[in-house]
Amino acid sequence: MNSSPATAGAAKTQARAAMSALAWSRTRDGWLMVIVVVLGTILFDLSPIVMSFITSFTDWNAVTLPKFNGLDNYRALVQDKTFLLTVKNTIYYTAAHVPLAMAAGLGLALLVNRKIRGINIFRAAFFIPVIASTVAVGIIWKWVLGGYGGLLNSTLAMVGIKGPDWLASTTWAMPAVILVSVWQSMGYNMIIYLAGLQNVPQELYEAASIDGAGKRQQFWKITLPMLSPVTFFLSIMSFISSFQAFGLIFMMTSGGPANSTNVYIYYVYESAFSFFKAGYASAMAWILFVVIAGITLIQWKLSKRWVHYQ
Amino acid sequence: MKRLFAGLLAGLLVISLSACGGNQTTAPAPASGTQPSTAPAPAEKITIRWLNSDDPKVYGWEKIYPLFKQKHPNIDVEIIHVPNFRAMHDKGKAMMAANDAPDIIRIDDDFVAGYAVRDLLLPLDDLFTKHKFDTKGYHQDFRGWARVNGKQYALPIGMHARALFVNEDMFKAAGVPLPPTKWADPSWKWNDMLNSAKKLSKPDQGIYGVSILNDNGFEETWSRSNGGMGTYAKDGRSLALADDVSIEAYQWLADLIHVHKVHPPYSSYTQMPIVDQFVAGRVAMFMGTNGNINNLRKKIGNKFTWSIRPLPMQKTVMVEGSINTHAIPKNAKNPDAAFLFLKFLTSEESQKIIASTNWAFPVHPEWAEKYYVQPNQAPKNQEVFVEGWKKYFMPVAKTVNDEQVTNLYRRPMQAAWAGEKKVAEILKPIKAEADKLLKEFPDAKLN
Repeated sequence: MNSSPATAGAAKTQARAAMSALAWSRTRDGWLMVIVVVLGTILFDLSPIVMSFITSFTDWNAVTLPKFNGLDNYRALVQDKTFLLTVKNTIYYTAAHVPLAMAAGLGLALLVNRKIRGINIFRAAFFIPVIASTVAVGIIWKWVLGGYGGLLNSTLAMVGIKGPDWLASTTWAMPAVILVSVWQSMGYNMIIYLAGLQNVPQELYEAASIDGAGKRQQFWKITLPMLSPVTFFLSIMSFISSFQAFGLIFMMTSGGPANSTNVYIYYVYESAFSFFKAGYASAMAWILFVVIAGITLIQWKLSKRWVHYQ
Repeated sequence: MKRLFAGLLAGLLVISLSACGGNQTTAPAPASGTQPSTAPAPAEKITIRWLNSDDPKVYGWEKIYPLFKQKHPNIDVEIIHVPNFRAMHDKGKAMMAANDAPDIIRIDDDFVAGYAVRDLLLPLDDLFTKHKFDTKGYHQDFRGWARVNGKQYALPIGMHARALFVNEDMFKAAGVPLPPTKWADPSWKWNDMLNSAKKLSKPDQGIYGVSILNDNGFEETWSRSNGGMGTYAKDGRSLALADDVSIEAYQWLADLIHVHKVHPPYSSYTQMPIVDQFVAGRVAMFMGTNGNINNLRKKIGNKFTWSIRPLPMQKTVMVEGSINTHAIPKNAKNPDAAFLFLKFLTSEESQKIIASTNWAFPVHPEWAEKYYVQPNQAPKNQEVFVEGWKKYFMPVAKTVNDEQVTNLYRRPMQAAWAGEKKVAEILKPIKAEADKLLKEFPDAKLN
């Protein structure tokens, strides 16, 4: 039986309307399911971010009403010697911490990437500093590194070495803090690298062995390139966390001695909570956000040249 | 339909939870009203929160509180104890920002002006009138000191003076004569203390003759002793410790560590507080306040004989005092109850207890004569503190940015205490920036 074009058109319209109603029903239900998260994100994440951006253009002591001061905070930062010093210290900290923590994590991952009895105990032991309280870590290491009867110097003295006053020396305080932070974070890098190592196809190593490649060549030509996505991920995360270093410095040195460990976020904290300058601190926080976003973007762009996905 | 219902329910749950969330945003807290609330009806139970860095055990809290409760049974006091003074202030500010201010906050001479000019404290003058607070007989500095722009912003509950704590047994063992017991004795100047310290020190064994840098009071004391103005000019608007006489005084102190080797390393205090170093016999004398006495009494016991001696003077005699002061934040929820508690702490019955612990001098000088000296308890020569406080006590000038300015010079000065730089190299370049900070709020009447 032949249907007329008008009937076919009406049927098509009806079918389209039924499909739209179904699609709308699914869309609506989907939104209702996620509304909890969306509202929570707006209320607890986005609103404070927007408020802090507005605050960065005010002179505000965090208690009484803020006063709008335009770009004064941003202009003042450029001339603030302490701010510029914290930028320099943060770059120093990041430049040392990131490669050291990643190298240490990779080294540990290579060591524990074995199927031997008890290996999980070592994996857990290396991971414990990651989950330990930063406050506790800071207190313990402050004692270890103390120049006045600290554990490290007492041990060195047994072999005739006079250690420096690690945390009281403007030369040694930052390296000491960096080493403690590497110690605390390398377990995390180890776990991520371990997962990456276990995903490298064994056939590649077998083929390389057949072709006569030694262990070292296999490491540089197979392992590292195959780990490049993991390295990329860890480098981004390490950069971000290094730029926000705070806890260990707060516990171990309070930014001293002589501002040698005074880093960016520590100065943000002091400005906001000690110096009655919440607006100024907000401006610093936004500058940091832009810098971190910029560096992350550069890393993404450069990743095309050296990150190999399977 | 079921899914629609579930989604609506979830949405309602979020909205109701966020309504209960309270202080989750960083929106500024509205300024509180300027008038104190009316006194609570007798039956109304109130709990006031007192943010303090002092350990309640050192000033007789267990005796004071029951007496307060007898007078005000409806008012409970909850102490929020943060042992570190600066950390306590950071916490206080965060609480005020969250509109959850404590009812009383320890302020001290350092910070009153900084908080007052920023309108963070409740002026107490109206409360004085309302609760018939009699200021007659209070120490001469009491009112003048805590007044900013003509208003009273804080109430001292005690005053701390500084002197030398001396381990007499170490002096006897080294054959070194003890320091005198009177202030301004011409035989006790800086070099006399240095010479004694040299004979008492065994740096290779970690034993030192003297410790001064453990107490930041040296900034004021050593500068004034050398004829300087102290940390700040009298009007609180410029940094005086960058002056030549002050620099000379601080370099003299730095040389105690690195040239004469009679002073513990500056970093030692973070590993072993000076009180513990003194108790362990690692330091023969140290500068401290009478606030240390109670703690030392418990730790030393009968281990050795210890006494109080005057600080050495150079050109003038001066005792820097710390005024243990407490204020009511502007957005405190129970200002009247808070004030009744502060009033009680400054009453004779409270001050008698505080004085008997030797923790602080009472705010009435005559009560110090009556109650302070405990002749049957260590240390010997407690009257040295009394003489210093009565004759030579000087509070520090008030400033609007004390915390930021002290941070500006104290941290860099650590390089001098570590022997890496000279004091002049550090302080001279800082002066311009410090003076700029001290000149903020130019219309404020401080001193």
